Amino acid sequence: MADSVDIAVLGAGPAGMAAAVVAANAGLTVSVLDDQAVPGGQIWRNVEAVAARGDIGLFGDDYAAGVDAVAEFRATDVDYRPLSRVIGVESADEGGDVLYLRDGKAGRLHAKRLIIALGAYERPMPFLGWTLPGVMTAGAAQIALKTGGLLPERPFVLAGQGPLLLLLAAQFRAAGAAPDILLRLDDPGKKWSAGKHGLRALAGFSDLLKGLKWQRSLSDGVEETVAHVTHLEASGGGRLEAVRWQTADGTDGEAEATTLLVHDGVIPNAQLTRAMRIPHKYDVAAAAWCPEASADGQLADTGWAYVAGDNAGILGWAAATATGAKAGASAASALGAKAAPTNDVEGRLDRARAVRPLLDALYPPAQAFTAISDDTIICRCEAIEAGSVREALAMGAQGPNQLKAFLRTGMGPCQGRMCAYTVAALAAEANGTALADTDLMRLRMPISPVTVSEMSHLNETDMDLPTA
Amino acid sequence: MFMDTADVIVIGGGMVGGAIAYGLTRAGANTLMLDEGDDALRTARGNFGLVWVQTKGRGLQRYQDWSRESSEIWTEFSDDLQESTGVNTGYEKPGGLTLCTSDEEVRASEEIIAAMKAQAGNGQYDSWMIDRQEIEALVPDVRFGPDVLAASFCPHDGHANPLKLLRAMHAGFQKAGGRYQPNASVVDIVRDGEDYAVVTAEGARYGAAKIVIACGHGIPELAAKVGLHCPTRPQRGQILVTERLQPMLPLPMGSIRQTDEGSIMLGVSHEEVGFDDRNTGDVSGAIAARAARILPDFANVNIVRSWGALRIMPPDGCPIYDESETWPGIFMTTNHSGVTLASVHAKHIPNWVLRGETPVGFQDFSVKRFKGTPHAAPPG
Amino acid sequence: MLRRRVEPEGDATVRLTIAGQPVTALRGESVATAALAAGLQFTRNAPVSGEPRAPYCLMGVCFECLMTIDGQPNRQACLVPVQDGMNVEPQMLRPSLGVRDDG
Ligand SMILES: Cc1cc2nc3c(=O)[nH]c(=O)nc-3n(C[C@H](O)[C@H](O)[C@H](O)COP(=O)(O)OP(=O)(O)OC[C@H]3O[C@@H](n4cnc5c(N)ncnc54)[C@H](O)[C@@H]3O)c2cc1C
Ligand code: FES
Repeated sequence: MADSVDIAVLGAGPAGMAAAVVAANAGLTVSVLDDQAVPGGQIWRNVEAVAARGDIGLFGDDYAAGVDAVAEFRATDVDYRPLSRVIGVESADEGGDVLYLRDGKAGRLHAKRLIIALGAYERPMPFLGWTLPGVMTAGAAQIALKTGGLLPERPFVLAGQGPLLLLLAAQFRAAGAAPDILLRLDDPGKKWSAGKHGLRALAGFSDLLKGLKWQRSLSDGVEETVAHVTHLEASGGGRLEAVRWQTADGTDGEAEATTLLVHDGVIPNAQLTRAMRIPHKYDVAAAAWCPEASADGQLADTGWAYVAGDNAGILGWAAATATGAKAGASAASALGAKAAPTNDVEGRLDRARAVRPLLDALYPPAQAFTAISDDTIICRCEAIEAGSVREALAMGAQGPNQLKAFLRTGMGPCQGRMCAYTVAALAAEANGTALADTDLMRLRMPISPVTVSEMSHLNETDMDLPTA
Repeated sequence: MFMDTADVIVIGGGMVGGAIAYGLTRAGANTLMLDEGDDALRTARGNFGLVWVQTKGRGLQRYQDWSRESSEIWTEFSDDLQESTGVNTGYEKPGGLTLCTSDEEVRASEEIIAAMKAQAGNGQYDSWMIDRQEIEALVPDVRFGPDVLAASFCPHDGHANPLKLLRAMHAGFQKAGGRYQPNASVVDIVRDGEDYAVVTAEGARYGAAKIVIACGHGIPELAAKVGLHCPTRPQRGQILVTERLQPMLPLPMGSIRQTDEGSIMLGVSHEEVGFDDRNTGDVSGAIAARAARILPDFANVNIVRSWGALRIMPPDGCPIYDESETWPGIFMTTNHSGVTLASVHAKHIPNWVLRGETPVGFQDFSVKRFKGTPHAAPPG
Repeated sequence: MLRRRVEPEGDATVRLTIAGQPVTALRGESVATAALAAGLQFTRNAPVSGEPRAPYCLMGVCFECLMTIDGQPNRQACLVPVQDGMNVEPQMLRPSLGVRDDG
């Protein structure tokens, strides 16, 4: 039978830890499940060990803030379960059952309230050659730096757009590996049109200042910066050898490269909420599908599940601590406990929200999906090219679900994490509909692969399984 | 006022509607296929892909013969599809096994074979029991768990890739001039002089002299509008699919088969849960536990996807084909073996619809067989 | 594509075998980053196209880091922390569990 707690928190990033701390301080039993070995989530990955080895200075103040947050989380009596991967959630007994993998077994944990804070991941950015070894996301290289102390090998090209790209460039430079070439997929002309957001964004001025600081320090040590790149291509025999690009004004460029890091902003990690069949809405400004939830994070169509942090919509780590605390307090008081959300929750949220429109305007997703060439692989798992998707759409496939049936897009182990957005965009393009009117492909439990042996631990029914 | 008119409108673009529409166009009929949107409850996308004879037709001999004929002409059907569309359905007929992992299961299999033989009477039913050594000889590349005692074997069983089959039928239909209209959920059928009009939820109207209602779980409601009773119910089946492996299972073993793409499908439950098509941890666990018992080396294989799909289950598990008496020219076709029967659907249903020609004994499939009888539980 | 800034020292060192080579790694990092630091050019062949692939996201999203770890095929190497004595191989083929292995 399932073990049982008052509140289960999924994800031990800024949002999940904040939720757990509030709920535990309210006197409730809390379990936190996370697939990493240590708490911190994406931004504060491995922060305890990095602090211990004296490298905290490489990553800036936002990262350093994780030291206290993790310590505060560790000081509670929360039942923290690292290396635990959530594969599904089922509604059960006026709450939910979390299905998860740990130590080679699938387990079931019942919770009266559930707080889902699985964070975000980088928006997949398909271009010709992006499957070559040597091409990885900038966030991946940051993880390698935080955990293994690894640096990109030269010649090193960094390509993409967004505030995080600028931060990463600064971090690599601080660690002694500035990119040789920086290809900016954003349009510097946009800066001015974004100016109208300036006043509202003032409230979030501290974040903005940081942004400007990164921008300035960005060019230090970089040999060449190319602005408004509209076409990117990687090539090589079996691994990356060269990067080619074109800019909006038609200028071509090419360079040898050993490492190409790409980044196109982040999108909510909504695999679980989608598999739970929570309705999701396309947020046009953020160009992302977000689960529908109330102001304190309660998910539409459930009375017992909440979403917090970047999982709910991209607002960054400071806002994640606020939405996490709010969801924790709301879930705790729903169970009759007295919960005090931590200080200045609304203020932190307001500042993050205020700066968002400016960032969205400055950094729309770089990839104009219509520009994906027919020979670009869009589904990495099944090696399916954009051309086949367009062909199937022309034959009458109506959307992502039927495309999946026809072509297997989204049927590999990543379950559409890498292709779902692109497939939806190609479908919208072919059907002449807005992305907001296009759904992503359906998802189901398990949201990550599970071995036969692991899965067999969920067997409780011993049901009769007649054949055919 | 009509969006489009045709000789025949096929309502439903799944396994059954797809096969019939493909057959109709190839028979020269001007055919329009209406289908729902991207998110429809499609059994065609959720099924197991068996072309299965050994357990089909207990209690209705016509169904046993129908399944057998289907298997006999499946190769030709599949070859035709490939020739006209270039899509290979992956059909193979290596025979099929139903594994028995306990003495009860052995007895149950023996009993089915005896009953099917007695019912057929003509020596046409051939399945027989094989022992563990014979199983190992047929499937030499994997190690079976100690519980595997015996199996029933039928040489007419096989399997296909259901997604490729569906795609091929759609492509073949359109190549032959058929017109496919998605996002057209039919909500009503009305008379239009001598002919009929169908009305969609979107408010569009389509006209035809003949209509085939083949829209799966949507049939009971539409059939009732034209005086036909369709006593089907949903029955959930959950399926797990593994990552791709080297070829190792040369023949389908009932609820365990390897696809042409290398992944292993593990099935399958029979649950009475209404229209709930979610999949669940406990049933996934039970399916995995059984697979690990049968094939212990599969313990470390990754399950990459899983789903629940709703069978369209008639009370006796056998197909229903009928024409409305009060609305002549309107047909309903329903069953839960759309892959197995795709070949006979493409071949025979068009003759029935276009010219009233039916194979011998076809009237046995009429819904009238349920008149007055309490609805029996279907065999597996 | 990635190199180590500093070699692991003392207690922080984990010793394992990757693609037959003895390798030292930093405690707390994943098998995937250890493989990259060891100079492995790719971690698997794509099962459909056969092309070489290497870790892309390092956070459990892309499934390009599938490797055989201690005999278990297709493990997500970026989610598995390094441990002393581990034996790691790239995932070269679709797994075969057969009594007979026809590659
Ligand atoms: C690669 C990457 C690098 C980033 N770097 C920075 C940066 O340097 N600075 C910055 O300001 N922002 C950065 N961001 C954005 C920042 O990470 C987020 O704003 C912030 O972490 C949000 O906090 P969260 O608690 O919502 O999610 P997260 O911090 O992402 O926490 C979610 C946790 O859930 C875990 N998880 C996910 N799926 C499962 C599952 N199925 N089962 C169990 N556990 C699971 C994750 O491993 C993670 O520990 C980065 C984002 C990414 C994707
Ligand atoms: S590198 Fe992407 S899942 Fe491991």
